[in-house]
Amino acid sequence: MSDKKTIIFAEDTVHIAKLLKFKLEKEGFNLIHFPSGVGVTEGVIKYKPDLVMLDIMMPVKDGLTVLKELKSNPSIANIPVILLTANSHEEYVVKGLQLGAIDYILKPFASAELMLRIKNILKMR
Amino acid sequence: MFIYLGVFLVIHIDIFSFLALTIFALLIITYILVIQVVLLRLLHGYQTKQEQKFFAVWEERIFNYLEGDEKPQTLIKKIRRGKYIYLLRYLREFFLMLKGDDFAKLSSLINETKLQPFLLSYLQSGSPRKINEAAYFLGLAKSEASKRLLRKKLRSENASVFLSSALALARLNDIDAVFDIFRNARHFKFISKDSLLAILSEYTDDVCKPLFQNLKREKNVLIQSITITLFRHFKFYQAGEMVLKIMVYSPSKDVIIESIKFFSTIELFEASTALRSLITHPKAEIRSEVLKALAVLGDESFEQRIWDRMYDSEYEVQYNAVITLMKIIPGSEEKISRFAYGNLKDRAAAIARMVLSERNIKN
Repeated sequence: MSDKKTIIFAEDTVHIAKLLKFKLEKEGFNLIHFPSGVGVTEGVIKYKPDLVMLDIMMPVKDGLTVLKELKSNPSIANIPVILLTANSHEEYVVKGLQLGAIDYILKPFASAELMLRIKNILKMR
Repeated sequence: MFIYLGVFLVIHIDIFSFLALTIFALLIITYILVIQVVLLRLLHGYQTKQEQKFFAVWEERIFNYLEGDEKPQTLIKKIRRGKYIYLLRYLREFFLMLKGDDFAKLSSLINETKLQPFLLSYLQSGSPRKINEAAYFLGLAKSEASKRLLRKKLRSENASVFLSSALALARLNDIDAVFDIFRNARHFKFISKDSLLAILSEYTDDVCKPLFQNLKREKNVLIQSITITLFRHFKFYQAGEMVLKIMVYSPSKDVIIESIKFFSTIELFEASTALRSLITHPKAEIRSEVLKALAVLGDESFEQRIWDRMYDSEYEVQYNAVITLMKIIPGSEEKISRFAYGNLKDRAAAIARMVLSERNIKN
């Protein structure tokens, strides 16, 4: 089995997701991308990733709903979750942290900072 | 010509032929419209395909550029001028979502390469679509070289050109342009306060100082109100005292409401004396806003006045009175609870019961 760390990333802006996939795969991670919140919980149950990154504002199913589902399922509740959100939606961050997210990144973000945070969280586990 | 044709037809042909001709003409028009729609769809499909093709070829090279040490000129040199617009559209999301080194690299793709003269030529074209597109990207990339042209575009009679140029200048943080934006916005009746605010909030808080200086002599209530809203947005504490003076003498509902919100945001306790007289203002929205501000400023000496507002004629004022009392008066929840359940037929008591019930649900 590969010892590559797996990250599930739910983000509706496709080019950004592709850029992060490119960067993370270069760093030796395996990234699975979902273009919305739909199917993320099932994906997490299936792939048991080391980390989940959720954009809060997504069509059909938002990041906070997915986070609630993840944290209410004991088999995946301990997987760390990072939230991504626009500067103007900071109030959702508090809600997300209360629901059990481990960290958050405000958009716009520097990809180097995001990479650093991902690595730190994975190192701590 | 059409009039002559109409007169000719009425004189020379009977009514049935006329009807037949009309139907025939309508059919021709429908046919032309259908062809136009089909052509537009085909064109759109072709452009989307071209864009996808471009993305497939260039995506990884752009990622490598963002990741590595390649010079922006080297990357742009490889792309044909005809494809520049695809590249820009591709970069749109990145401009909006990335900052730091990533953003610097994106900006230099525009500011240090042939993309800049390309966009400047778009900006000088007569097409509003091209101007808007150029203004959008030049603003995002903070292209200093575009400032002069963008300021000229502020004088455009086309509303979309004015708005896109104003937005670009705000993103460029061109402080000197802010008063031109105010001045020229007056030419467009349908440009709302909200759209102006959305543009001006793209400035950094550096914009507050000149606005502060201007507010001292500004008489236009719309500009006063927008300025105060921006002070609230940027939490510009320095303006508290002056806004207080303006609010006291202002006849404008908008200015008063924005001022109260501002005091609440910056927690200007000195404002509570001025709020004393506004709590009974004839306009319900102002009374309501005063109560919301008092919930933040927390002046207990208002207790009786707030209780009085529970009997206000407007529901929103009554509702906010209950909330404010519970927030600022220690032990008031018990008192309100007694009042709420001791006067079952009273409207104020019913609203109090509603607030208590909402509070229980939240807890």
